Amino acid sequence: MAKLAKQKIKEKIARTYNLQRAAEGWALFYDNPVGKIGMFLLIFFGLMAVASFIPPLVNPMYHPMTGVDPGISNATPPSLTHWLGTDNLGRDLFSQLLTGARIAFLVGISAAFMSIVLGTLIGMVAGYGGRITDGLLMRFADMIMVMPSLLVVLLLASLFGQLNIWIIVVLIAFFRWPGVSRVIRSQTLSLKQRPFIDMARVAGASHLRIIFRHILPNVLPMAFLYMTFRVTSAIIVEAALAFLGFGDPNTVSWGMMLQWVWKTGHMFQAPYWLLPPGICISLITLSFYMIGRAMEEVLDPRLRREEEAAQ
Amino acid sequence: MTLLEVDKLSIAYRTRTATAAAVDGASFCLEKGKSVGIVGESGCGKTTIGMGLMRLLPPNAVVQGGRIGFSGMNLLALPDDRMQTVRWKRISMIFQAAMNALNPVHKVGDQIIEAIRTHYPEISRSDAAARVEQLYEMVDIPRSRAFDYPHQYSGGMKQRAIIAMALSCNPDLIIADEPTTALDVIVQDQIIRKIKQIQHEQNIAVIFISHDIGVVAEVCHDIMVMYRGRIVESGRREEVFRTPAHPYTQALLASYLTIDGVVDVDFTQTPPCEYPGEISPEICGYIENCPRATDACRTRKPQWRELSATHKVYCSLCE
Amino acid sequence: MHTEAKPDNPDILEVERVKKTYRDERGLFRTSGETLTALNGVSLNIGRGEIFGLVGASGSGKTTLGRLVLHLESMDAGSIRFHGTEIHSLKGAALKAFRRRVQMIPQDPYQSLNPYMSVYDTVAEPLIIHHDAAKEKRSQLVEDAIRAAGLTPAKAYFNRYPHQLSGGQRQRAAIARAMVLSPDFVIADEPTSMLDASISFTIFKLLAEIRKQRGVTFLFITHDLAAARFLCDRIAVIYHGEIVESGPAESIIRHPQSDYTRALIDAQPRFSFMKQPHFREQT
Repeated sequence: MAKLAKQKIKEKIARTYNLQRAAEGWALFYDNPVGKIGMFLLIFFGLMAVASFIPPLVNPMYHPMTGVDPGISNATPPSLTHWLGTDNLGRDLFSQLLTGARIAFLVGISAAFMSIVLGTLIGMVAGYGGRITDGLLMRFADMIMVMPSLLVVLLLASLFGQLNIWIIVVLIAFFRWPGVSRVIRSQTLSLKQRPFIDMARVAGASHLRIIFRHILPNVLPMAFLYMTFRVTSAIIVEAALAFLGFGDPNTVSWGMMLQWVWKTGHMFQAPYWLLPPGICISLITLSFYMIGRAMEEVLDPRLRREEEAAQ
Repeated sequence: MTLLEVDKLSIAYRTRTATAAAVDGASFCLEKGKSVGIVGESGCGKTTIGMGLMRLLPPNAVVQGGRIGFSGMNLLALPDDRMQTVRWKRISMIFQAAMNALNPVHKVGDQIIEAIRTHYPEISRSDAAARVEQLYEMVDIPRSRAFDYPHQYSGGMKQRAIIAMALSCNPDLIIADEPTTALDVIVQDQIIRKIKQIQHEQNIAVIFISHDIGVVAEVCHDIMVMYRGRIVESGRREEVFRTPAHPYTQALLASYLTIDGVVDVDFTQTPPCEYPGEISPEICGYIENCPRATDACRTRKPQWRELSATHKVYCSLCE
Repeated sequence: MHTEAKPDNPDILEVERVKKTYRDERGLFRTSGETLTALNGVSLNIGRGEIFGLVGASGSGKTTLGRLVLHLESMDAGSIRFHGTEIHSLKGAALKAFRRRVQMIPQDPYQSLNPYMSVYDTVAEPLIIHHDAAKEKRSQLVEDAIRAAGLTPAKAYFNRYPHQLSGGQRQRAAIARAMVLSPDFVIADEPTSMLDASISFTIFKLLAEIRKQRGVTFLFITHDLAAARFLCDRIAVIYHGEIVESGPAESIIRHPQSDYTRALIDAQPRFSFMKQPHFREQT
């Protein structure tokens, strides 16, 4: 037992290198104003998401979906009791906005994560497998890539009625992996030429071992980078679907809020209702995008090489 | 006549967090028509010296001090436009991995003509073309190949073309930075002979930078050995080969394999002992690897000491 | 035990009339059909316990031969037998068994170690792949291999990563990985071409030491005739995919038979400026 614990500690120490490398990367990231702004925006939205649990506890009328202010029967502008005002049913817009942040994270990160996992796996297998495997997988990826994803989702929604938020997430993930797999595939192709892959083969490593032990760690940074960009696109797709009326009616997302503004005809009557979700969608996608750009710079081999050469 | 006089040249690279010295107080002279070789392991600063002389250092490099005297001018103080006229016309360079220096979409001869006409716009195209043929003769490429594309050349021919380009404006000094590293042994030998021959015939001074002390010894009159940014030994090649005084030079020669065995190094040579009992934080950079380091080496600054009028060593050893 | 290798030793590796052609696949539809013959009927035998040098310029096919012997690529014709068994017909478990007996020391220590694996993981990986030794014994084996490769104290290197090592140290880590399974036969493909001269020399000495200690057979691939003479019992000179000359190292250098070998010898630095060039014979 003690021995096992010792082994665990040893492994942990072994990983400190990656921590150290991560720390170096973080320093480089944080030096970049784009990354810094993106990070602060993201923290802000994170706090919003966490805070979304508070209003319903204060007073049930602040529940974003079911809470209705009994004294209000129409859309009202901001006041002391409703900081951002209410919608036409008397629901609190501020608590809706907070919940929207939570949903944006949920949709963005889970859809991005799924598409990254799928894209990385397929990319690695295609790049490593070569010829036939590569051809088949990449043609499949091309097919999905050229499909008008929004249109397909709309079709599905009109066929099956309202879609659950998780189905939307899965659909977004399904349409967003091919781009990732293209990048990972080309990285795998160049990694395959690196002598350490030959060394692994000479040592007798199986294909699975080579893919997961030798290629995967080397493509992971790139996969994470793409994840930030995928988060952006997932949030936008969800918002678009919701705005067009194909969102999950049981979920309060910013896209849904916009849809309600539009459907109830308050588009140009209630800027306090229209603007906050619109601005939030822009800012959260911007923040993920900025983080991605800053990460890109950290990962950029040219920048890295300069850093190493100078040492 | 002294052509080049480098005095206490120091160059450092700035990084995000620190400044790392790449060349630390390098001083040497080069007579007109003579050749000097700079030897050292990768990262010792030998390429930085070459780039410093050309004033082609990367943007994160800082010249921290020193003087580069070249036929009466201080190159470090020269304004950029005047440096332009010195570069290539008077000092030219054969770069490391020069084979990739040719533009693949232009004919080689045209690239040389371009180089000539950039510096001498008054020369007509046909005169420049005649010069190219002359240069090709000099470097032993058939004239008929002058206007082929780079991919039609072998590695050795590309390297010869690069040498022709370096010669095109009749420079006084050529800096050759690892010009034969990527080539096969036989081609390497041919190129070295060629450089040597041209150097003699045209009376051009050459600075030959290489990690291979054997290659340097074939070409150069003088040898300078560098270690971690410092020149640690310099002298006529016969002196450096016969009586290497710095332990690093001795180690380099002791591990140099030739086809006849190992060069028989006189390990007994020691810098003449004349040490003031000074205590200094600036100790020898070779100390961790030096087989001959003494405790005293840890406390004193290495010093230049002369073994002959031409042979000097920078060492803290005193036995 | 130092086995003076003689040609009449039992051969560990027999290469017979091996051919390998690469097709240029850059053209549209990949049919441009331009072919490059890397090996054109190469034959050689390597005896147990000897260091056999394969000397040639870049593009001579020497690396290709190494890759064929390692079964990293397929060949067009000929046969390669290891202990009498044709290796290119090996599959599955037999191939894996072959892999544990034949190892490789790579050319470029900067590219041949996985940047995300520590020295310990790198050296231990072959043991894990071949389910050799229980976990407790494994770390001992790894430690021994690292120490034998000249990295001491071995434990201090366990958690280092390639970028924290110098070129020479990386190459030693690669040697430790190659030796951890105690292979019979090791292919060293230009193991020092990226290293400085003084470090190369220590690596050569290490290889000679490993041969002496463990009786491992080496195929030493190099462009450097001087290094081959220093290290090898026998040498084959390869030129444009054909072996032009082979035999004991000493006699090839003293009495070269082919023009190419002669040119190769003539191109070596001789330091003619030293009035009485005197060289020490290295044994």
